[in-house]
Amino acid sequence: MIPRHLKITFALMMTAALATGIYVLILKRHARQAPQTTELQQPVAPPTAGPPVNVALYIADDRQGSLHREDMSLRLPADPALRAQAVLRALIARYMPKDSPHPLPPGADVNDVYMVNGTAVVDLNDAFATGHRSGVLVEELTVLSLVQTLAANFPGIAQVKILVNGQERDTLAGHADLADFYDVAAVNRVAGQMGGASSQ
Amino acid sequence: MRWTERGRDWLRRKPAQIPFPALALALLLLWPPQGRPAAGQEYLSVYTPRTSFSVRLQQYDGREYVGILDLLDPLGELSARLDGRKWKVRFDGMEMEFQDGKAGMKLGGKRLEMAAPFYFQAGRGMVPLSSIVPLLSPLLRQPVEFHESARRMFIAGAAVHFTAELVHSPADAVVLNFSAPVNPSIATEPGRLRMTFVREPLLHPSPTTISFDDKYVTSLTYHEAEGIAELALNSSVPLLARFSADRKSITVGPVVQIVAQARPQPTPTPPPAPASASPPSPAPPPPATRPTPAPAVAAPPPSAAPPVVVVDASHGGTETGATLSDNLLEKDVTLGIAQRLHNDLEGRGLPTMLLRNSDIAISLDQRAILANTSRARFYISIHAGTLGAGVRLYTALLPPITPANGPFLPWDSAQATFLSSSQTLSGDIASELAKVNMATRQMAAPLPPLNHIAAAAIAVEVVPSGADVTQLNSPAYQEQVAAAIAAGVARARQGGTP
Repeated sequence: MIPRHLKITFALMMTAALATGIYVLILKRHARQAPQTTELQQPVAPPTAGPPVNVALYIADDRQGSLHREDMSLRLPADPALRAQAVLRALIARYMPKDSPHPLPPGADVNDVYMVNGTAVVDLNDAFATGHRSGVLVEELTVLSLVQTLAANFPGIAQVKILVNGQERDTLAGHADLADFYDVAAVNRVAGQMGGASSQ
Repeated sequence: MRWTERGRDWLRRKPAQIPFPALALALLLLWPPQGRPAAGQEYLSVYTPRTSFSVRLQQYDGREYVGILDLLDPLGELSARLDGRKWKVRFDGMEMEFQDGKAGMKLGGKRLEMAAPFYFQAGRGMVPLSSIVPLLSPLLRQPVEFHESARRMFIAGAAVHFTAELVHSPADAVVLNFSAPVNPSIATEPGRLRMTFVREPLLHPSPTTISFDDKYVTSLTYHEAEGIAELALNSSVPLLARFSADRKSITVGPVVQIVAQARPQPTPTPPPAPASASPPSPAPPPPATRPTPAPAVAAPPPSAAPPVVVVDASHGGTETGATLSDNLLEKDVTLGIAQRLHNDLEGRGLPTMLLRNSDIAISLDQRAILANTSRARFYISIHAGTLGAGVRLYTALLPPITPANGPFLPWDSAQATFLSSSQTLSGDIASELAKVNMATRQMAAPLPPLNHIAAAAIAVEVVPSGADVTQLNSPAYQEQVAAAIAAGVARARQGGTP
């Protein structure tokens, strides 16, 4: 005859084991369904080094199909390439909130910016391009926003080339040309039609 | 301490009374089996004379399995039920009987041995793929041909055969004639044009490689794998495929020759171009490498250029463009609008070439080459989107450069010479769209291949008038947009709006 307290103990242990098993299964299912968060999904923060400087950001607006200027104060590093990267990161951070006027994909970032003799080369990361929405206007707004913001804050830039992960690419997401250089004057003309002309 | 000793004593005396099933269940929940089913991504393609479909395969213990209900459901009347430990399936009056974990089964009362055990999981009965033919043949009472390595199954003699013939007139090309209409996906890459047949029961020729005594198209190779068949034409020059109207014939040849074939013959109806019209276009080739401006070729004599509109349905094949909704892709919408525009323009007596008339992939450079070699006067690229409302008209975004003089044009800025006539075309189309109360917007955009087009060139992005994206797929909406564009082109051809 099995003592009653042993029966109760064993039953409790079995119940606990079953409950743990079910709980582990539920956890596993949740883990499988959760989105992969290998990329940074939070807005990138501007650097904190250097004195505060007034910068102009050209913000795209999907609903209006327009660009508009916003000024903000940023602490920027001394190196021009790092300054350009910091300005573009501040611009991208503006597109990261859910209620942004022109949402960019989670993890979108600028790997590097190189500036040589009036030419700026912007190297976007893979998440920026692969997760970008596809469409003529939506891609054009992104490109114009990047180029116009660079041109407004770095007057010596005459043309801009955009790479993705260090590689040339035909288009951003099927439409906007990334194979050729962007002429800053031509972009300024189009941006003007969209309400975002620069005085540069 | 006393209860522990008593427990140990009980365990020594009565080990069989431990509730092992409950313990085993708990262990099963904590450690699900790793060796048994692992989901695979392979598919079996099944072809019958009436239909074709794909069934997903799964890996069990290193073998491929197929769901017997998934396979039989499209083929006849089917019912299944559990009878104790047996799973009984009835198909067109014949009964099968399976048991989980057993290789033996019964078919119409006869016992059969499968190559591996049957598995029953989550209401699905899984049968080893290698045993499927002995099972299906008596069940369907039809011949079953199974290409196991390629995962393609042909039932009741379903097959599409083809012949390949090298022709030299009207142009050097390989003509593929099929025994039934086909709709392959077509992709081009350097030295090769590939046609992928997913739904068609295309059967291989004998031998599987055919060589041609031709300087352009050197050979044709047949290959089947993973549920699809593929024909690859190998060549020393870029190739283009052109379908016959009944889709039973595909002509493959060098791009320039196929375009020359496709070019409409001069007809007496179109009046001569007005004096203000842009000059006939030289045809610059693409650069060998992107950043280097490429040399251009001499323009053909002006008198050789008939007026023609090129309508380009953007995207195609694996390049789908924007995903407009869960089941609506940009490439399908652009094709629908482009086909309607083609018909409307032809109806107005404007000879028109449609660059893409099926779901094929054409590179951006190839589109520009085709438009330029056709010596088109107007080039219209069709796009679709969801941002905003109405129709947006784009001209090329070019730096302020001096248009080239003389017979040569640089590839990267070939459009500069024609930018003014492109803007006129855009304005004329916008006027016609406004007449039917469509919201329009005209702007420049960095949209390839506009910069490389040696003609009046615009891109049209069609957007629904409201929030309903499915409107893009509506024949009425597509026709309304196409008709207005056609009217705008006709207006531009007459000299445009002053």
